[in-house]
Amino acid sequence: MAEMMKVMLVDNESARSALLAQALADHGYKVVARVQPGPNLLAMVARYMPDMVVIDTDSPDRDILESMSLLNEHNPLPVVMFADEDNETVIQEAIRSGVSGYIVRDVDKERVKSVMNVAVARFREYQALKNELKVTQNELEESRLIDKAKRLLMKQKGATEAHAYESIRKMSMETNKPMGEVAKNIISVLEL
Amino acid sequence: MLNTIEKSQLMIGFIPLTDSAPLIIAQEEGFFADEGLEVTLSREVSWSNIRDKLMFGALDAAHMLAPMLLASSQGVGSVKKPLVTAYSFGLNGNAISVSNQIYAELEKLEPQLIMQPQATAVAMKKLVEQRKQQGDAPLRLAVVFPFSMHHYLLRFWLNSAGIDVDNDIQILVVPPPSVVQALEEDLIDGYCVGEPWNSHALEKGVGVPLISGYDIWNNAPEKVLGVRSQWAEANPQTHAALIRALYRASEWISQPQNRDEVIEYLTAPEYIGAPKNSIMNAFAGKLMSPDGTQVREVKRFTLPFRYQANFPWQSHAVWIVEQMQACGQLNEEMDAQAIAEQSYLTDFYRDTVQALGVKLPDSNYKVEGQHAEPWSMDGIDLAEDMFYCGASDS
Repeated sequence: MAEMMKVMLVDNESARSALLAQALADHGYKVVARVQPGPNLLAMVARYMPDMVVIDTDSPDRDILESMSLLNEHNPLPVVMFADEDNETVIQEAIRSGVSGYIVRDVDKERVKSVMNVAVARFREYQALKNELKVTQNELEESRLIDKAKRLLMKQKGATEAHAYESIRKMSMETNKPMGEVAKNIISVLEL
Repeated sequence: MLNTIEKSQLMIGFIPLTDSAPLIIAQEEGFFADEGLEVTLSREVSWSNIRDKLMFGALDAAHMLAPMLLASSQGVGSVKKPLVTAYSFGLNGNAISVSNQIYAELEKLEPQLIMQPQATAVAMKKLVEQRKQQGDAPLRLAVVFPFSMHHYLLRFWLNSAGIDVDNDIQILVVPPPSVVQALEEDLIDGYCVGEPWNSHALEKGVGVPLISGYDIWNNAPEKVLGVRSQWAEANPQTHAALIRALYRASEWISQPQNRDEVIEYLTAPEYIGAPKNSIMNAFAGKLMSPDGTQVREVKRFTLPFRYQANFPWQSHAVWIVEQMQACGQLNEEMDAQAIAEQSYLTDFYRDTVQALGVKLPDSNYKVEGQHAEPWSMDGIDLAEDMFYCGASDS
């Protein structure tokens, strides 16, 4: 079997938590910890390094988990939560949005696996999208820097545009650094 | 007027904090009913929940962190869904508290800190440097959400003394009701949060409120009434009725003779459910050293109504967007003013409230960081708007 997905359960209802832990284990997930909600959640995540956290939507600690991937990009965690059954539309929309998955409050063993699978798949999609966005942003930033460096070279060294671009590219190859970084260095020197 | 309302039954979410008072008062004192609105107030446990429920239509409107509304509208930290606001839940209300141990160390570096807010950031800088030299871990400071005024005010204050927040401070999120416990268990060294959680730390003897949000930015925005842009377009009369009810509730709250009743309502378990003492502290706005030798009264610790406190200034939104850009949450290329104009329906607020016979500013913007005293714009009184130690805007 492929590497097991490590799950941390955050729940103060131990009966429900035990039931869910069993259901997850039956379906090939590794439950690394069952913890009580509280402000030390961050430390718990750091200790157990789960791939996924299951938490009740009624827990205020949800904000802690949400912030984790926002404040610390190296620790992306899909979050699956319990929600009230009568909020089915909320659940559907949320799952479609790909940010989180939801499990109805009364844990049905059979449904756990499919819900978890959907959540994981959606989470990966979301992460991929986020990374893609980042790449695009970086590319934008890079071309902005190159442009600026080019203009500075043209203005201060009397180079033509083609020549300026060529010298940035050459420096990039020689120093084995990305063009954006070379451009940044040029800007910092020429702007003095 | 009643028959023009598109939707009369509304579900509105709130977080149990003192600034949710206008919703509670509008409900209890009948301002919603006067407008033909049948409102159910839904007490929520987390900002993430409030945001998701509003976005997915489980709530019609919500008490929301102003920065969260702007972030969600841009798809930052959540699904992208345009949210708008045309009402602000008053101004100010936050403070920064530190643990007893950190407070003692700061007092050694700069004495009489409670009395001199301008010295606090410098003292923090000295402490950060001292800790670095000793090889101590960075200070751990909590905020209530990554997209919150608490986060940006804290950063603004630290930055003002040249502290490198990204490298020398660890910022983390702890929900308001948990901050005091987190401080007690030494999971954090301090936090920026709304009342009553600052006074509460002092009362329990685990921490000291060092400086108020007012000291960092005089009369800063805080929470707004968020609705989906689509909802606002589909229900303009309902939206206007909501704003009128909240405006009247805010006015009612600001009247001194109603103070006791406001506190009584807020204390109820279905609303805030905090002890009366803590809620009274939130209105008193006093900072105090643990030994009681230093006491400083913050003149507008919270500002619920006066000085156009409910006016959704687009200049407030611009400032927030700029902070988001400065700390890397939002692309720097984005046009802050365009974002502010999309999300802050200032014209709608003006049209709605002026119809009540109230004179409001014609402009959607005001210059921030220029007025050390209350001033007048077209004959309308506005409060001071200085930044910490006279720092300039942006």
